[in-house]
Amino acid sequence: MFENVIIGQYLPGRSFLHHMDPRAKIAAVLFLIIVIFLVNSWNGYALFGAAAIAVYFLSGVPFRYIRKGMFPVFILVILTFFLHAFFTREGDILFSVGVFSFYEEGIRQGLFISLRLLLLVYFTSLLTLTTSPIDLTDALEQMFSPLERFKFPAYDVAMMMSIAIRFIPTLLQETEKIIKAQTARGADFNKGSMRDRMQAFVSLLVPLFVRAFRRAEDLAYAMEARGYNGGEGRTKLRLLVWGWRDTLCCVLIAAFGVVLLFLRQ
Amino acid sequence: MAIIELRDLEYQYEESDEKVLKGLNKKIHQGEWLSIIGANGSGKSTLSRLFNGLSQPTGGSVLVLGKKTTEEDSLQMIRREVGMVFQNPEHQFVAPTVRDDIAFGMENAGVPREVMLERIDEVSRWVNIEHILHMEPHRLSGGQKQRAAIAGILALRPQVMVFDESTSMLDPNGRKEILETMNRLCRESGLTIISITHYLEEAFMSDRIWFMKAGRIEKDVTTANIPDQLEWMEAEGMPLPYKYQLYREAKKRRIDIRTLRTMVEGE
Ligand SMILES: Nc1ncnc2c1ncn2[C@@H]1O[C@H](COP(=O)(O)OP(=O)(O)O)[C@@H](O)[C@H]1O
Ligand SMILES: [Mg+2]
Repeated sequence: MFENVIIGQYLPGRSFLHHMDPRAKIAAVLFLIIVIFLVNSWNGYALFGAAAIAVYFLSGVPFRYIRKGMFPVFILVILTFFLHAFFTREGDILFSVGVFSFYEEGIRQGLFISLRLLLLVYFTSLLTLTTSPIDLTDALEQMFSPLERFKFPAYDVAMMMSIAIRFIPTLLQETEKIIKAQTARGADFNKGSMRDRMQAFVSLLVPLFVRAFRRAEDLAYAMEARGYNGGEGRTKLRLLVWGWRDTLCCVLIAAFGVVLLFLRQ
Repeated sequence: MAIIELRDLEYQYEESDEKVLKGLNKKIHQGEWLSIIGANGSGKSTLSRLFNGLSQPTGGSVLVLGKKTTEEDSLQMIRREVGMVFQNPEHQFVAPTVRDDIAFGMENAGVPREVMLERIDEVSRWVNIEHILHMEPHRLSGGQKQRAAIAGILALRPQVMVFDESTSMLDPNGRKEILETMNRLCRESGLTIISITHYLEEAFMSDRIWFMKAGRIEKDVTTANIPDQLEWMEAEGMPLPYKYQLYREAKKRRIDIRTLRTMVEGE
């Protein structure tokens, strides 16, 4: 049932983006998220679109994966568009349908906001599609580690994240096992009244939780036995390597930001 | 010198009103293989966690290489010297891949990266997992996960390794792999092994057996003369390995081995 789950939707590969340092990718995405709110002209969006296409070719990710990842936000995008189109009453009336009038400014803003949302989700999807969860965690840990000075537990949070990621397949396997066992005993997760289904669901959740607590205890002992004692004095096997691609990315994206500023109206 | 010493050791869980361990006085010697057997709930796991300070005694003390586990300064040393392999292979695999999991203990100990790489190479070859270093846990068998755990501990160069029913969740192949590894650890590398088990045939591979019952060590016997021990083992309801059952049965009925052979093979 769960054999084909892709964790955190990561797609292993050897593209330009896959070879980049996750820190550079995260920084780039954060930068893009900020500058996209500065864009207020068609030219600006055209440039952003061109960048999106270029990044697509650098990612080596088949389009259907991106489409799949973005599908859920389409509903949100359409909703936002119509909200703006209905309620913004500035500029000339473009056309009317019955009592509703659509104004030029409303359509424009609706389109802009929709584009922003789409581009935002698009770039973040590409980040998670080309970066393994563990690389993401490592990068976030390093980027947040200066905050350790202000008592922000970057190491502990990163450790928690990586363990959570590590145990996703375990959890799925267990769920599958319990479903099979309950089905063998006559439980049905797909048919029956709401009440029956709720009961089946509870019969799934209870053993899952019991096992999770058991596992947490075992895990705590196992980690302590191997000397885990928080982040202090810890060394790391995994290295993040900053390469020419990452420097290039930073330069390009800075230039991109400057050009966008000039395209503002 | 004893590598681990128990002095009037007592343990009581906070929530309970009965002691789980009741005044144990024992020494474990360098290089020996000790196995601990006993019914569920007799206190074996509790005892094993006291060997390296995962829990602290509520009475008496545990000494590892002469240092009390309660001494804050010695605790990191003790954790490094006494490695623990637990029962559930899935629940002690903490990292995304075998390589990372082996490194976990060394990272905690602050071992430099170059040294880590060398040791991973060395220990993974020693336990035969050098071909699966890149694999994620959900693609590994139980035996492979347990060997990864052993490798991670070996990389810290310990003197003692404690196995708490580490073979009980494995298939027969996995069990055999781990037992062979334990045997090599003790006989080739000279490590002190403490193995907790339900299986007498595993206990018979060791040098000494502690039999635990309700928080006490009821028997402390060497495996040099197993036939003499069979009687009480059977009386305690322990399932004897097949060859010993046969031996006991034949002896009880005064059947001579040669007669047994004719009975089975015919005249
Ligand atoms: N965390 C705990 N809290 C309270 N009692 C416990 C805890 N863990 C174990 N016990 C009790 O201590 C006794 C010994 O348990 P344990 O050491 O796990 O035995 P064994 O490993 O021999 O099966 C049992 O009666 C058990 O119920
Ligand atoms: Mg136990």
